[in-house]
Amino acid sequence: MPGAAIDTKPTNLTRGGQEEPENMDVRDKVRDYIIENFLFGDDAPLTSDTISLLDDGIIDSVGVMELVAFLEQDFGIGVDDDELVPDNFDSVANLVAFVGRKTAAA
Amino acid sequence: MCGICGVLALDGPLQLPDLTPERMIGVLRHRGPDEFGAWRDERVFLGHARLSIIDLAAGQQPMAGVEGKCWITFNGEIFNYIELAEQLQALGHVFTTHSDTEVIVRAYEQWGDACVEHFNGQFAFAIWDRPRQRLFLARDRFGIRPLFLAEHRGQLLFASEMKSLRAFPGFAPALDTAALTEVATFWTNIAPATPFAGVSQLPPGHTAVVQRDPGGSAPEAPLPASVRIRRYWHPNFLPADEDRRRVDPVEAEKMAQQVREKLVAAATIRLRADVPVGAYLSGGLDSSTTAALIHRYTDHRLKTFSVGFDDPRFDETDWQLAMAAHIGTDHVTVKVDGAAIAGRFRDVVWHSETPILRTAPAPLHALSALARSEGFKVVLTGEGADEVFAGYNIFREAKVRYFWSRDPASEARAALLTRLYPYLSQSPPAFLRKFYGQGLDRPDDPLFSHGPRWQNTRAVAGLLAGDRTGAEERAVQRLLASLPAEFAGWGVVSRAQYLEMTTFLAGYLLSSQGDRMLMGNSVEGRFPFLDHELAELAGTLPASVKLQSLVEKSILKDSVADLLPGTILQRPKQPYRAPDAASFTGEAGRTLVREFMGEQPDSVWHSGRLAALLRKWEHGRLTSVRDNMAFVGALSGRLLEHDFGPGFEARITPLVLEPDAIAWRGN
Repeated sequence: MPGAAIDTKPTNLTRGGQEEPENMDVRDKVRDYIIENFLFGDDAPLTSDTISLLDDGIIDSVGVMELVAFLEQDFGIGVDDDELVPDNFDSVANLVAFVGRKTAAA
Repeated sequence: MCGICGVLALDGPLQLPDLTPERMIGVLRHRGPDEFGAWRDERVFLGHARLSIIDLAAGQQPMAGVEGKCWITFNGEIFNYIELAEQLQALGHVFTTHSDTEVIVRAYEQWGDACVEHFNGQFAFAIWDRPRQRLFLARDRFGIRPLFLAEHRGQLLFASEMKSLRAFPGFAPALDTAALTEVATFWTNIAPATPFAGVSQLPPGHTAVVQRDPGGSAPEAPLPASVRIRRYWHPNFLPADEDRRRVDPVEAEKMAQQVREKLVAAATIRLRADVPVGAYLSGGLDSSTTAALIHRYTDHRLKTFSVGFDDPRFDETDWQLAMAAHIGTDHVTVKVDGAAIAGRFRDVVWHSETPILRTAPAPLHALSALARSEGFKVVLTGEGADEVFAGYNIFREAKVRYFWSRDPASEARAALLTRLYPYLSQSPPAFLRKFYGQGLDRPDDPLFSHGPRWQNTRAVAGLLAGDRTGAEERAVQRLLASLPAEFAGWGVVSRAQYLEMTTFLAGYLLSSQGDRMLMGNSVEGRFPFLDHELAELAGTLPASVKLQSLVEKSILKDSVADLLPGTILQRPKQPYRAPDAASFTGEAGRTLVREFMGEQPDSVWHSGRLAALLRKWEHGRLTSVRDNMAFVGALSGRLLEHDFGPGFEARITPLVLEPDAIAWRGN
């Protein structure tokens, strides 16, 4: 029986697969990751950089964990528990700003 | 029991291309391998594949009424046929068989279209009323038995399964993107829609009349224009103020007693059969109750059947064995693993006739095969108890979210969610609040309870290639328009129960995971908890005795406490699940995935997006429920597209009957 529950069973957080060109900027990289990984290549739902990924059903809470793993692996930044909030993760713009703040602080 | 089919010429004489009966009946042979019957006149053809259960010698179909004026083809059971026969005999009707089929015809002759209101049963049937030149169709209250319709070149086609319609020469309906969008949101089509363009289903609790000049206004698509439908029953509940009423222990005890009486009656009347009746045992409360009732109230030597999984996360063998030992049944188990699921998955989709978002039907297909191999044609199960007595988490979730909506800033209220779903405590709390907080500003929205679930499923629709604009909205409008007038006055849990009964129960549990998996191996399921008198009683009990605080099915537990061991009674509810995408990593699974998930021209599924999904799968990264639904949904969708499209003729060739295999009746 399906609940509406979010599945947070342990995830394999390594990101295998494709290589991106190094000069791709953060915004494109984030967008491409979301489109490939959560939307299987369908960019139509990602109508802008500011729409809410959660409200629009693009990611669920497991998706948040996948995003964390992506940021850690591809941008070499660490994410603390108290940073796991919609202000940092719930849109392309928020993610880009978050990566910007973290890399500037590093 | 049985599979039915037929054709009605709407204008002019009946046109039956070569082999139509042999094809339409033949593809239903799994539903009724015992006998094949047919009847026709100048306007109508009726077909029947029989699974003989009652009056083995004389219950052949199609069957005639008085003086051959009415002819019926019937799938299902009317459990109160003995009482109805007595009642009808007192009214002057003469019976020539001891079958429930004849009772339906006589009841129709006596009471007309209202005959269905007298039936306690699970049924889909068609009666051709020759004097009035009208076809009368009916489907049981909860939709236990299926009935599909299509209009093709001036003729109405109907059948128990869509493959029988598809077998009509020249009729080749295609998968419909809008209809698939519904499945990818609600898990099922909203009746009367089906996954195929131009194919509809008679909604549960409805009758239909088809005739040349139907009069009145035509129904909305996808129902054919020649059909006029009428709802004769829907689940009912107390108005919200009565539903909230607190019940003192003395009154609660009385209610538990009433539930017990109805439940005993519902279970024992479902043992009426001229063949042995077995029972499924999942290890949960509901099927344990069913089995225990049979044990206590009959002298039936009971045989029970269970699914076990090699993966302990899904397995409930210990509970099943404990219950079997408690009541002393003759118990058998089929062990299922991923390879077994993958190995039968194509057949599962062939039978379910719709994309499925989980593999959970597959083990039940293995289970019905086990029951059949042990010589059983009929089993009782616990299906329906969670809907009728508020057992599912979605009801508790709705109650918590409604409570939270009255103080949306409250963290304590939101934290109740982790009591429902303990594993949520690992998720980032801010995101949980955001996810389950969807719709919190509209707690009186009719669909409030189901918002989060549908939001989580919706992603699957992104794998479709075509234009889905407005498809979901149209389905929501159809659902809203179908809600009974009383709905607005019900409380949040009752509303959720109604939605669950009319969408997920009828459209998935009773069909893809129920009738189609059982009948796929010629086994009939019977469901005491879906006895309409029991459901009506439960609907008159306040919500507080069903979902007491957050304790699910509390009145049911009280009513059967003496029948069950404490371990079963107190165990936390375990949702029935099977391994999903992980099932396909073995050789059989990979072969299936390679053959059907790749690039396909003209597919309704988007090849590029399927490729991205497969890449994620290949890397072992399909971890979320949502990704798993996408994978199973797309694989089943592709199988359906092939086996009901270009692969159809090859698939049915061995099923088409020899002309002399059909017994033509009458005339």
